[in-house]
Amino acid sequence: MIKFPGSPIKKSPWIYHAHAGGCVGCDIELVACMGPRYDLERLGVKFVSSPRYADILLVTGCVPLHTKPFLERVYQQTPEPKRVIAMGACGTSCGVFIDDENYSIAGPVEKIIPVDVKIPGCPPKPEAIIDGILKVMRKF
Amino acid sequence: MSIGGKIRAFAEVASNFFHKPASVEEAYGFTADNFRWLPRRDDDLCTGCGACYERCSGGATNIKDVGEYRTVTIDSLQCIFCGRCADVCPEKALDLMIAEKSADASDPDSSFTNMMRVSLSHGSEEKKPTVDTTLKLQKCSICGEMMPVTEKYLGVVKERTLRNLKPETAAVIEKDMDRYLKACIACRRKNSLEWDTHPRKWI
Repeated sequence: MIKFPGSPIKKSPWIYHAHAGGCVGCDIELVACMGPRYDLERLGVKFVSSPRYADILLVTGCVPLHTKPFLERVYQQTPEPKRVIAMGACGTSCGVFIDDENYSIAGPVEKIIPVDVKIPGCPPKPEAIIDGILKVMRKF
Repeated sequence: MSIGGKIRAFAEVASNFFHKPASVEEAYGFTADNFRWLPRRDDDLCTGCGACYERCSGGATNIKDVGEYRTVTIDSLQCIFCGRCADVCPEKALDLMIAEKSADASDPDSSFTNMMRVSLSHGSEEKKPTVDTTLKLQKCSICGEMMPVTEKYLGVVKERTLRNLKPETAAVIEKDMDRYLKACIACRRKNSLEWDTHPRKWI
């Protein structure tokens, strides 16, 4: 595999939004990000419908046991170089589901795939999401 | 489209040249007035009573008693910024940085925007922001065991109780109060008859 020096993606990251068992609160905020008020597309960000196109994987939700294999597969399907954002209180630390006796949670996203940037909040504000995406773009 | 409609549409297009775009200019430039962010604790006011710990809806607040000290922490990743801890705090020691963000949001170096940049999103290798307060625990004056209460909290309890009493009553009670508050529960039970705090004495 050829490796290019420097940062390959500086301007227009394509994001795949992986929903891993959340309450859809974070996803609604993502939709609000794409509206005219906080227009994410003016920063070159585009949401794509397949992980095979994506540069950034944006995971929301605490990962339940039955979603874990799918999340791992989505991570493998994303081409290199790739970065991962864990979003929301659930994505960063399992949020209210954090409990040692919880039988159905495979832990926060960090336990399953490597995470570069975490965006806390329940749900995070659109400003926080934009800030997180800008941070992960600097990490490429 | 009728001619009137065309004129109206053209007028709208022309007027848009003089309007600002609807989108926010910068990601940090705009925040709502009641925007809640990570709670900040005033170490001078906090008594370590644990009201925020009981009320926390996300399970982010924790209290650890290690040795002679009690540490009250907030896990920033688990906090859902609901603001219940600030509502319930009897000392008003917690606030959710609501005042700061409205101070000067357009200035990129103002404390709020800095705070956003530092702690809103952070890499896994960076240190996560925490809100910690360490307080000294009360030692039982009789048996010497550490009580699950802080010294500061007992001081506040004493002050508040005396304040609500008549001065002549307070003068009588004040002597016994120190002795009673600074004893652990087992010692209070043991000495209750001696101290006239046993319920039997008051029936």
